[in-house]
Amino acid sequence: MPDYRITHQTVYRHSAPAAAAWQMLQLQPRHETAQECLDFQLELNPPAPDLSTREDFFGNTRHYFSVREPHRELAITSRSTVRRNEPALPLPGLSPSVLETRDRTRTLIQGGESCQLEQYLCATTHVPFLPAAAALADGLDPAAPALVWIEALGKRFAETFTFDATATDLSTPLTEVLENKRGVCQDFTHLFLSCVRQQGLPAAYVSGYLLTNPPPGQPRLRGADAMHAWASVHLPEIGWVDYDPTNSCFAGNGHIVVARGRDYADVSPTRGVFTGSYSPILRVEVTVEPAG
Amino acid sequence: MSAPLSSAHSVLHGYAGKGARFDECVDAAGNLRPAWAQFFNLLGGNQAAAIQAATEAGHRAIIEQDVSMNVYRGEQAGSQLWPLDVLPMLIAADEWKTLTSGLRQRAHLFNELLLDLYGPQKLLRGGLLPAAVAMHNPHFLRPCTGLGKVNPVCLHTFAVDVARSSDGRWWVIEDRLDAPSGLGYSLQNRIITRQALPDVFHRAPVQRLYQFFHDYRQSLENLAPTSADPRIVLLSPGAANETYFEQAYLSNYLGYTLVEGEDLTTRNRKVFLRTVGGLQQVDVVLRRLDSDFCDPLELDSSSLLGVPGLIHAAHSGSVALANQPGCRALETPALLGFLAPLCRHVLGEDLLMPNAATWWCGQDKPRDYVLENLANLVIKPTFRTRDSAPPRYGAWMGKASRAELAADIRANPGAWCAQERVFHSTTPGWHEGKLRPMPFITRLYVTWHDGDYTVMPGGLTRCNPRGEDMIVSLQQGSVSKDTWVLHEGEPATPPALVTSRAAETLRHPSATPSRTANNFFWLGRYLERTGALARRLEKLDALLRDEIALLDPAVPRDTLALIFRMQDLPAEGDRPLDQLAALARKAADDPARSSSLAANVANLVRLLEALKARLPHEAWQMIRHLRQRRKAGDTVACAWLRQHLTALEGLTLETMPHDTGWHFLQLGRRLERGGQLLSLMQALLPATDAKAPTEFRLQTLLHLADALFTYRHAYHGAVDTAALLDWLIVSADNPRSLRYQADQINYHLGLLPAELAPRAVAALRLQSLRVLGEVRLADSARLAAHPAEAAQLLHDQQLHLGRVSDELNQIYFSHVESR
Repeated sequence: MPDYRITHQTVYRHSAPAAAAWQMLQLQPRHETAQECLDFQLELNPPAPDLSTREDFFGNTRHYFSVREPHRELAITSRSTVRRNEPALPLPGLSPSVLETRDRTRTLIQGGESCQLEQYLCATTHVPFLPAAAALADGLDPAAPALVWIEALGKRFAETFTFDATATDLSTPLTEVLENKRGVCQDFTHLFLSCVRQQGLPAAYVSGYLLTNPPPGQPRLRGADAMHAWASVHLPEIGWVDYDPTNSCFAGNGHIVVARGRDYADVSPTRGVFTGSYSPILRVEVTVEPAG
Repeated sequence: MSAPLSSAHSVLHGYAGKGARFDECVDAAGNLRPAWAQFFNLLGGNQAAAIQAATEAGHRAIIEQDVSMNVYRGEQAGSQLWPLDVLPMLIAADEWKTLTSGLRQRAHLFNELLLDLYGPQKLLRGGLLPAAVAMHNPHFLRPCTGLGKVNPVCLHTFAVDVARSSDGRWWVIEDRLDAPSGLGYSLQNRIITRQALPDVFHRAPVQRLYQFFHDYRQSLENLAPTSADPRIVLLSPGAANETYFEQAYLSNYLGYTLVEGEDLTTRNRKVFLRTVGGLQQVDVVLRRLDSDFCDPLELDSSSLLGVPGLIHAAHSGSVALANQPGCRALETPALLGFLAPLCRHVLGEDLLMPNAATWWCGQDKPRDYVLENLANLVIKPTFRTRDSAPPRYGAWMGKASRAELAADIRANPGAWCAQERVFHSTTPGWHEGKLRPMPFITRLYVTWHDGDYTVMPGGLTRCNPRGEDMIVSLQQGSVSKDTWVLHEGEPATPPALVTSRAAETLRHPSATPSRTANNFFWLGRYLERTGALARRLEKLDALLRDEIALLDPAVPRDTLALIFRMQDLPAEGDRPLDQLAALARKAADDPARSSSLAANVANLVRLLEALKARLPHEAWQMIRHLRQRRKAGDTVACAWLRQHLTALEGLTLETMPHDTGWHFLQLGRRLERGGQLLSLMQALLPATDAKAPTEFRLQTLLHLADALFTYRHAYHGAVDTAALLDWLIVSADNPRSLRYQADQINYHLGLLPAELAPRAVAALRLQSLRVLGEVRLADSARLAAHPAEAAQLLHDQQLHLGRVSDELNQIYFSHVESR
């Protein structure tokens, strides 16, 4: 039952002073079965007099504030303490098959009670239904248990793609990721969602943090981490199962969930409108460390 | 009760319905229906002549009031005159009853559906509505979930396009829930039609619209969360929007401030209007901006038209939005197939108004039916977006394209809906001097009022003069009509409009939005600047051809140098005068050159359009003329332009309220006029005493300053430098003098609101009084004797005018940028 302390700092720097700013944040880790957010503090500079929160459609906590004085720099620092458990994972071999999942999901949605699953089957701006993404699952047996099938798909991701923090940015289209076979967690997660949704499995986007261990013998570097992203697939009776296509593993007790949605756009950690400034430079530093 | 169709002389001779279509005027047996029999009766003897005269009167009114719409597509893109046929569409009293109850029920139903969709979603969970209709819907805006808890009137104004089919029943063709347009045009159509057909209108039992608009206004006030004297604004997408005219018209009629996104700001979860008097809290936003554009923070982040934080403010309950954002989710035809059972479930009633039979292909059985009957159906995308395909008529498609469409449907069935084709009924329209049956569609309006919905007894009818097809779109050549709903029996006396509150509480004195004030200020500047440039260009011919000019060529040369500077042209030194004049005129016609006459006129028109809602109607026609101006810098064109500018000047003086916006207009004008006068004097008065100016030079200066006429009266003809300086600088009696401008500037500065920055305003007033006051003390005889001193004075005053302008911008408009 490890506890983590996360420090997440975002700095917007403007070349000419921004006259005002409005911000919407999704930085507060969720309360979930396997996770408890013990503490959350937000520090804003320049300070904002009107910080307020609202829960969004997906149950994430959003913070809102505005800055009304001219400023060249806006720094948003969140400090969270989270207790994270190993999520209960059924034996992959005992999960329903992909085919069964697809059919039962359909029935569940048609019955109405699980109508919200429908939104995790759609193409979105960040998750277009590319045939090449669907083809990543070619040759995998849809009669296999879904979790086994997911692991096999994850293995393919590991074989096919290379993590490269410099290869893409937020606006890189998935077609380019497929072509160059390089990208970051966001790209792989969107690609994974596109493939899985096209098979008829409802799948969500998860943003969060991952505890990374420094190479043996070296100290942990502060601010060296980034935010992480992974996928979550819904199986009948079992529910949501989080899978990390970047690291080809099921989410464990090092995966700290911040927000869930359909794609990055639903959960982007900071979203803002500035006046008087058009393209601020953004710098993000994240430190995840075991607490206590 | 039907009357026989009249004789061969009648305007109806040869008029017949189209095939099996229902005709509003003539029944199947060829007899006039009672409403139309009464109409033609009231029209009098020579009906064709009466209709023709009314048509011409209507057309004149549209031109005079510059009633327009912006067209997006095709060669005609740009602003167009509003197409109106003065023959109204008539709805008989008994039919109106049926329509009203159907529409009111439909409004209640949609509001309940919206409350559920953006709330507990019981209907989705109960399987009464397929999940995909909501969950795939790009118009289902998740950040709006829960707004119904704050304000249970999601749907404040609801518009429904209805048409009558061959069997005589009215059908719903389309529901408009998000930010329905057309209410302003309906009102405008009514006013023009009433003027064009006064005798018929006043004698026919036509239901009036006053009561509806009274209720409409009251219900918006009642939406206000707290304030007893709520501030209501109409949020517009701006002057480029296709229906901007009617937004301006409606805001004027209702007395609400017309605003764009940048006029509003949010802080502490409240919405404020930026005015020159400071921020003023807004209680109700009448929204004409599409939902997804409303808030770049939570909705479409690419929107430049919205207000960041608006949705979050709405959630706090500090402001009411009408309609609530997100209503467009239910504009999908996919819903229609489920509406009847939903109505029974939600309201416990049968659905009264039918809509055209609709199949959503996201379910197997309907999809198969659609694929089998493609040739007889109208195919529409389930969710209409900015780039989605227009409806397609199976009957008009070739085999190959039908097969292609079928393949598209099979590939993504949930994205398609099909509707049965309704053959719209026809109503008489006046086209090319003849009465013709035209298929039509009518938009009816429903609004929330006092716990219930009420229907406007009127509407916006659009019909197709080509008489053929089903697509009735004003963007594509259809015409509009007024819609007359008839009383039973004698016309009731129109209700008197009683305002429940005293007039002074209705006044919001310093409510001029900062952006509007800024526009007024620049309007003043551009009116003067354009006028000055036009005057210089206009006098050029005379100046070049004058026989004295031949003896004193430095005068036209100096004048041309000034015109060059005014248009940012590089000096051309020693070239012949004719060539220089040609260059100056060529530049004047070039709209791409930022300081040219053409560019100045374009800026002027842009500002006039933006301020249209605040200008008298008489000015609207002037805007139209300026927009269509022949772009030329020759004498005649410049004289024409100056006449129009003078007329506009007169209008702004005599027919505008002298409110804060007007003071900014005057400040802009006076600062510019002063500046232009100083540049002119600097260009034509020698800066040293090396050579005294010739009489011709002085006369030219007075002439270009538009002061020669008044000077001659004041000084009995003799022209000398001292008298000229007296008249152009020191005199308080010459409306073109610097002193006059200075007095006016000080006067208007003293009347501006000071709440925004009291100290800065006081400082500005004081400084202006002091520096501009120097002009009063100037000794013109001394200045005439010492040209260097005169030049220094001109220079100092020029600097000072610039400073006043900068300060004014800093105090009143800089926060326009900073939102």
